[in-house]
Amino acid sequence: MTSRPDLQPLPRRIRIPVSAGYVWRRFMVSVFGIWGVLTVIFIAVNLNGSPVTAFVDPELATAEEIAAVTRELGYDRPIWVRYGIFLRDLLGGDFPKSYRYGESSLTLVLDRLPVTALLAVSGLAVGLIVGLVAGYVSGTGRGVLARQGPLLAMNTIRAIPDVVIGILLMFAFGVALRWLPVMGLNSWRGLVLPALVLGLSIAPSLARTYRASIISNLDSDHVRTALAKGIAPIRVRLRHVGMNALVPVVSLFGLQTANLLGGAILVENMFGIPGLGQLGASALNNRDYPVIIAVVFLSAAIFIAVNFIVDVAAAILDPRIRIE
Amino acid sequence: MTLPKFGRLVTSLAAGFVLLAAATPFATAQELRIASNTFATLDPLARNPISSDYNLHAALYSTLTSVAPDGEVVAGIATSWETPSALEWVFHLRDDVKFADGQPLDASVVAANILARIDPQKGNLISTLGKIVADVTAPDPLTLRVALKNPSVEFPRLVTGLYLTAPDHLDGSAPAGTVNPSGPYKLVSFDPDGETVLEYNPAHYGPKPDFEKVRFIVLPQVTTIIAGLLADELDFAEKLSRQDSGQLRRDETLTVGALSSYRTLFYRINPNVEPLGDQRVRQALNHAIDKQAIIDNFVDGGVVPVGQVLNPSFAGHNPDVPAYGYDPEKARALLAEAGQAGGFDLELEFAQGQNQAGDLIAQVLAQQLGEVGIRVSLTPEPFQVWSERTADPAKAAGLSENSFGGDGTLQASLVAFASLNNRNHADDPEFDKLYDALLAAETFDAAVEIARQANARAHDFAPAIFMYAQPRTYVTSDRVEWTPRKDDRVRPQDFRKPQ
Repeated sequence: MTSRPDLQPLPRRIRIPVSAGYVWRRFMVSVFGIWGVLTVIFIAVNLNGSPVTAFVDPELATAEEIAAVTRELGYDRPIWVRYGIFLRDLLGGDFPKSYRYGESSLTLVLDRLPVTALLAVSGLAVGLIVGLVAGYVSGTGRGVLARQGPLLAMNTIRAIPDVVIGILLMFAFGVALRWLPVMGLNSWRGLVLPALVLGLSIAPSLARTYRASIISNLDSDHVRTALAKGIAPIRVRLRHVGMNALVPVVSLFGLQTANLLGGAILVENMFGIPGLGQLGASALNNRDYPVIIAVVFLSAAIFIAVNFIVDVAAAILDPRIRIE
Repeated sequence: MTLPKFGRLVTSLAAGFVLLAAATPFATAQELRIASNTFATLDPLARNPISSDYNLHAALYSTLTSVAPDGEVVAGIATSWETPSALEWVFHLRDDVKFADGQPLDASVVAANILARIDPQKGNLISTLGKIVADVTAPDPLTLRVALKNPSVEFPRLVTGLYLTAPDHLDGSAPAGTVNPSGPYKLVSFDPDGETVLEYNPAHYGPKPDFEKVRFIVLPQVTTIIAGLLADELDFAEKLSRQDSGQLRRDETLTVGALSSYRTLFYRINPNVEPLGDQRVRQALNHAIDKQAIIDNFVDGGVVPVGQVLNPSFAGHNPDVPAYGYDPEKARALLAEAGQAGGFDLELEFAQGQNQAGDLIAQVLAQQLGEVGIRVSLTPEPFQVWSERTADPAKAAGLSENSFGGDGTLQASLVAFASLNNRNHADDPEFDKLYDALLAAETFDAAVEIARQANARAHDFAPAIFMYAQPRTYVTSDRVEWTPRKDDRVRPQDFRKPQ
C-alpha cells in the first residue's frame, strides 16, 4: 500500500479514559459524603447520652465524682461546642483519643484494619470465584442441570442466614473433622472458614447479576457477528460474552463493599477474630465514642473510596457512562 | 470433565484436606487457653475496671492477702496479720518479693499503693479503701501499719483486691502500657478485644504454676465458645447456661460443673414508680414468683431460693429468714389490700447476656406476675444502657435485674441496699443504720450478727424480688483441673495438670 502525499498522518493523541471534570466531581461528592457520615455519627453517639457511667462505678460514685469525670471528658459542654472542637481537631489531623485505650482512635482502627481487610479481600476472592463460575455456567450451560443447578445452589445459599452457614461450617470442619480452627486468626488456616462464610454471603448476588448479563450479551449483535466470522464458540463465550458481561458485576462490586465490611464484622465476632468488628462492638458496649466514630469513619471512607474507583472504572469500561 | 479426571480432582482435594488436618497444631502441654469477656485495662489504678480485668491483675500482680478457692483468706506477700486495736491493722511481709525488673516489693511500696488509691488527686476517686483508710505507714521494710477511719473487721479480705504495682507506675514515670509484674505471670501481649498472652514470671516468689503459658481469648459468641471446647481449642469457659452446656455434657473430654456462688440474683424494685412505693405491693411481687420452678428449669449448681440480700454462702446469711413462698393468692390479697386489685403496668429491664438465661427468666417473671394481674413489659438493654439507666431513680424501670456479692465481703455485699448505692432507690433508714453499724463493728462475730439483722430488715422491707444464689457454671477440658471458686475470679495459677 502506498500513502498519498496529501494525506498526513494524524498526530497520536493520548486518550484520557474519563475527563478530569468527571473525576473531580466524583471526588468532591466523596469528600462531602465522608463529612456527612462523620457529622451524623457524631450526633448519633452524642444523643445516646454521656459516656461517664462507663468510667466511674455507677453504684457508689458520688455526684461530685461523676461531675469531675464529666468535666474531664468534656461532657459539661453543649453538643455544638463539642462538635466544633471535634471538627477543629480533625482538620488539625487530630482524631479524638479512645476513652479506654488512651491513644488515637484512628490509630487503633488502622491497627485493626489489616485483619478486617484480609478477611474482606479473602471473602471477596471466594465470592468472586464462586459467583462468577456459578453465573457463567448457569448463563452459558446447556441442559437444565447446567443452567438451573448453579442457580438453585446460589438461591439456597442466599436463603440461609450467614450466621447459620458459619455455624454449620464451624461444626463440620472445626468440631467434627477438626481440619480447621474455629477461632482466632493465628495462621492461614484460620482464614479459611471466615473467608468461606464471607464469600458465600456475596456470591449469590454476583452470580445472578453475571448470569443475567451473560444472557443479554449472548443475544447481542457483536456476538452473532463474531460467530459468523468463524471465531471458535468457546472463545466467543469467554472473550466476547464473559468479559463484556463483567460491567454490571463491577458496578455491583462497589455496592458489595458495604456487605463485605458488614459481613467481616459479623464473621470476626463469630470466629473471635480481633478486627474492626470486634473493636467496634466492644466500643459500643463500653461507650467508647471516639472509637465508634473512627470505625464508622473508616468504614464509610473505604466504602466511598471503593465506589469512587468503581464509578471511574465503569466509565473506563463503558464509554456510555462517561459524562462529557 | 471426564469421570477419571473428576475422580482425580476429588482424590486431590481429599488429600489436601488430610494434609491440612495433619498440619493442625495442638496446644502444647504448657499452654492454658481460657475463654474470656473483653478487658478494659491492665492498670489496677484505673477508675472502673471490669470483672474480667481482675483475672489478669491476679495473674500479673501480687497482693497482701489472697482468697483460696474455698473462700478462706490466705497469705499473699503478707505472711501474717493482726489488729492491735479496732482502728489498726498490721501486716508482716515476706522478704523475697520483687518485681520482674528487680525492684523490691516491700512495705513502703505497699504503703505507696494504698496511698495512691486514697488520694483523689491521682484520679482514683472510686475506692473502697479511700472510704475507710486514714493513713498507712511502713516502720520497716517488712511491716505495714494501716490506720482506719472506722473499724473494718473484713480488712484482710478487702485487700485481696489490692493489686500492687511498682513505684514508677504509681508516680506515672513508667512508660504507658508497660507492666512490671510481681505475680506468677508476666505479660507477653495484650489485646482487650482479642487475645492476651501471659507466660511464667521467674521473678515470682511463689510456686511455679502448672501452666507456663496462658492465653485469654475474647469470644463474644457462645456458639464459638461451645465449638472451641468441642474442638479442643479451649481449656476453660464459664457462665454458660444450662441450655448452652447441654451438648458439652455429652463430650467425655469435658467436665461441666456448677456451684452456688457468693452472688445473689434479685430484681430491684423502684418505689418511684407507682404503686411500688407501697411495701405490700413489693411483698406481693415477691410472693407472685415461683423461684423454685425457675431454678428447676433454668439453673444448675444446687442453688436455693433466698429472701434476703446474702445467700447461704455468707456467714452473715440469716437462716431464720425464709425465702418468700410462692403464693399467688397471698399476692393478690396484698395487692387488693394496697388498692391494686385491678393490677397495674410494670416495666422490667435487664442487661442482655449478663445473667445466665436472663432473658428466659425475665419472660417467666412477666408471665407469673401476669397471673396476679401485673402487666409486665420487658426491656432488654445493652449493659452500658442498663448501667446508666438503673443508677437514675427517674429513669430506672419498676423492676431491674441485678446481682451482688461477687467478692464475698459483708460490707461490699450489703451495700447493695444501702442509701449510698446509686442503684438502690428503695431507701430504708432502718437498713442504713444497720449498715453503718456493720461498718463500725469491732469483731467479726458482731459484724455477722448485724448482717443477719440487716438481712431480716431487707426481707420485710422488700426493696427487691429476691431470687436465689447465682450459680457459677464452668467447663474444663481434660487437660486441666480447676477447683471452682465462689467468687468471680479465674486465676491461671489455680489450674493444675491432671495427675
